[in-house]
Amino acid sequence: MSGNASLGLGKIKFGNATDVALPWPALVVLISGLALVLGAFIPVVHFAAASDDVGSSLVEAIADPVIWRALRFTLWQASLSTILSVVFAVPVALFMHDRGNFAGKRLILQLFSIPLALPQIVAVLAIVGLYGRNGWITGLLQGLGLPNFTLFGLTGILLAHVFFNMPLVVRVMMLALERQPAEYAKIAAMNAMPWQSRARFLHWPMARAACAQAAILVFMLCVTSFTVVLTLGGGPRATTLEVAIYHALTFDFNLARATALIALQVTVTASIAILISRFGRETDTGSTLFAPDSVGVGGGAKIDAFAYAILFMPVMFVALPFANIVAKGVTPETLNVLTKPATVDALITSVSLASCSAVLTTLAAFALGHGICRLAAQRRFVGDATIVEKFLLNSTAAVLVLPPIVLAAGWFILFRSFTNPFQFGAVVIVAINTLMALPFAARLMVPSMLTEARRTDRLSRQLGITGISKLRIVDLPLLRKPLLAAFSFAAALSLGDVSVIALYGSQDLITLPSLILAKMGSYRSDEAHILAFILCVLTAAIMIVGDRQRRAA
Amino acid sequence: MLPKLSLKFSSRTPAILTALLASTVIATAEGKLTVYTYESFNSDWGPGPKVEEAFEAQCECDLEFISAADGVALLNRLRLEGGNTGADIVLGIDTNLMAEAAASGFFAPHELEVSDRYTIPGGFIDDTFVAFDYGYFAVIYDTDEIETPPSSMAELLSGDPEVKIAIQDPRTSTPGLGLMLWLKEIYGDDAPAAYEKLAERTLTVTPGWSEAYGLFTDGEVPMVLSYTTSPAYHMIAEETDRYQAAAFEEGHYMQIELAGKTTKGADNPLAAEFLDFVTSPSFQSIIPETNWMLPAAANGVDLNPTFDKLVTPEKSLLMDSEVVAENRKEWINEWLEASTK
Repeated sequence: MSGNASLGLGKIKFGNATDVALPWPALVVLISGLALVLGAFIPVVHFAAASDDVGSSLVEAIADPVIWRALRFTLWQASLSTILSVVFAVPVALFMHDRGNFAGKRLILQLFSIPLALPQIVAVLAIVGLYGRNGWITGLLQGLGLPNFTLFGLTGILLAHVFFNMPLVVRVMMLALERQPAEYAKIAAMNAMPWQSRARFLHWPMARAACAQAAILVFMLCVTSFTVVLTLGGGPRATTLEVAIYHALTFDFNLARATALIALQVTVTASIAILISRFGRETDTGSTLFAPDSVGVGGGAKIDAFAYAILFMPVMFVALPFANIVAKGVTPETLNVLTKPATVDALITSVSLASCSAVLTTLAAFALGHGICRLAAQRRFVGDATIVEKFLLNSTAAVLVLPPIVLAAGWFILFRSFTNPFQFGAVVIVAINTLMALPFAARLMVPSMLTEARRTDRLSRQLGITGISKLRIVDLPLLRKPLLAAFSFAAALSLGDVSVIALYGSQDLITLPSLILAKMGSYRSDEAHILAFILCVLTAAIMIVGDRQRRAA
Repeated sequence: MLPKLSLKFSSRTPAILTALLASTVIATAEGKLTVYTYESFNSDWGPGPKVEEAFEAQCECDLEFISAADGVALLNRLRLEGGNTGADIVLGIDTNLMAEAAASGFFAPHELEVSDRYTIPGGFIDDTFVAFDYGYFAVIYDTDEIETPPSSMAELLSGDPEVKIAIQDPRTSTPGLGLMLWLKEIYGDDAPAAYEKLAERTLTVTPGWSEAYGLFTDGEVPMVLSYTTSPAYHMIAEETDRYQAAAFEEGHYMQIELAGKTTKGADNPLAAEFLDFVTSPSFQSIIPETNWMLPAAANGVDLNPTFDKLVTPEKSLLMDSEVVAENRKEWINEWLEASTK
């Protein structure tokens, strides 16, 4: 099925491709990201060095059995969470793609974009409301005469992590699958391929790379999990390195130890991420026809019923906690809370900050993707991705294991030496949220960008369409879907952020999630439930608007 | 309709951000007092807005609150600022952090004669910090589920392991640290055995107060570690007697919340005036029903009669702040060791 050879396009000389170095937009993103991280860490290390030595703290931390126990449990729960999230996500993604456009598909994808935007405490309490002692599901299971299970412990941690991450893997895989050439579906139909073969030979090769990349993200998110692990873990036996880092940063205020622990965390997770990335080889679709619509292959009422039956459990698994949030959040008080000046202010602040981060994130991801495509063009899209290409994509994920609060603290130290740091509160929040959302956006966009580059770059060059014109005529229309997906995801992630605001918040800078946490911290859980519901509606609205514009275009 | 809405937001964005940036600029003009405090103190339902109104009426100046997440974050913000702080006053450090805060050198003596105003059991004397409220840690239970609550720590530890309690982690939360010190104060060197017993009754150890209390009010767990004043909130604001504190024979561990002026604030006459105001009846009357703690100087405060229904410990326990600062690390490791057995 290699279009390259049959059409002879592979031999076309590609401009002065051999001279192409990393283009400047990707370089700008890379340097700004690096500057953002180093600009934070150099002041922190410098500050720490005044009282303690990072090197000796590292030695001390490595020798500490408490740290080893924490590291062991961190890796154990993160590996299990990642495996489970991927194992449940793969059939859902392959199946949804195989079925083409069925009623409710877009709704499911929209639903699957919301979990990551929820503050962890809200999601945790919603999950407890389902599977806890008095939970709906627990009641249902007891009604069916099934034995009780204890939520608190590894079970609870895994349940919550799969809730947060399985939908993420599905979303990333679905976008990769949508690049599948329409010919594939037609050939499969002509050959009457059974679904097992379609999944194995058509869909999986398209989704494999995206799946590995999503797994890396999930692993990193689970490594740094904090509220979920402590609250649902049932006791200090369930702990992560992140808890030790937080402890060193807050109660102990030992920046040297915190830096040492972060170094340990980055080293260990980066090695595992590299290991995972070896599994995700990209698949070359060659120069197939331009018709990448998802045309379902299977069909018939019997199969439809089968499809819904398979999707029922995972969809319910993600939807029910939201049902719980809605049930708690829709009260006679909801409208009152929504129209309070404090709520309106927090909404405006949250939406402003999130839209700034989302725009920046999308631009940065596009620039990175552009760089990766250029590099791939240098090897004429043939063979495996080079180390530099992999580095460009995966280095963005590394920031996920840096606690945002350390980045915030570093910039705080830097700013206060010449000005009042609070002036830059909004800027730092937007910058750090952009950095944290970039790995997600990059993973949503890069696979599609590579496919489109492979399909259109040579022809565009032949026709002399370059620069802005190429962007306007070729890239933007083709990449509208992944661009909007990246934008909505970045917006949702920034909407849910509570980490950076903790250091820069003042009476003028209160976001919706920080308002929720404040209400929960002072007995007002009823209002917190309502605000959590509003946050969910807001996130859902962003997803739906993104979707709608896409269809209109 | 929807695209229009999003357009409106995006065209407003720059203006909003400029406004945000501009409003966080701290003017150093005269007649201005900057107070760092924890978030819930300065929320619209907390004491902050009322305190601001009352003090501004008295001083004819501008009072500005800047909030950090909690007491620990407050002290850490001062450390990050390294003496070059914007704060005149820091309000919300507690007795567990007092020694470390005093040793940091960021605070100036208050030079006020306020110790005779305090109605805190056992009194309070300190040259640097002024007490503004206090409370006791307590086990709060759900009367719908528990008829006879434990009457002592010993009973709590030896009770039915199927009836669970949610507690907080001493590594990440003030009440968690309070519980650990409470057990340490009662049991001394035998504390590890007590931690082990408590672990058997513990449903989960949460990172902060909010998660544990949320689990409790959601009905997931019938007991939670909180304050003796927690029932006052439910009785006054929600008009329910359902959640009550269990009185313990051994006594209850105490937390006193403090305010102090920074070395920068020492040059601002308003800072001294504010610390005096903190122990006055007008500030003290705001505290009980906004911060849900007990007023540190209750004379002249018209306390809601509901507060009389609360558990009043016969014995209040409080360790010396210096001892806590010296031993905290070792004790936390001891707790960790015992609770992971």
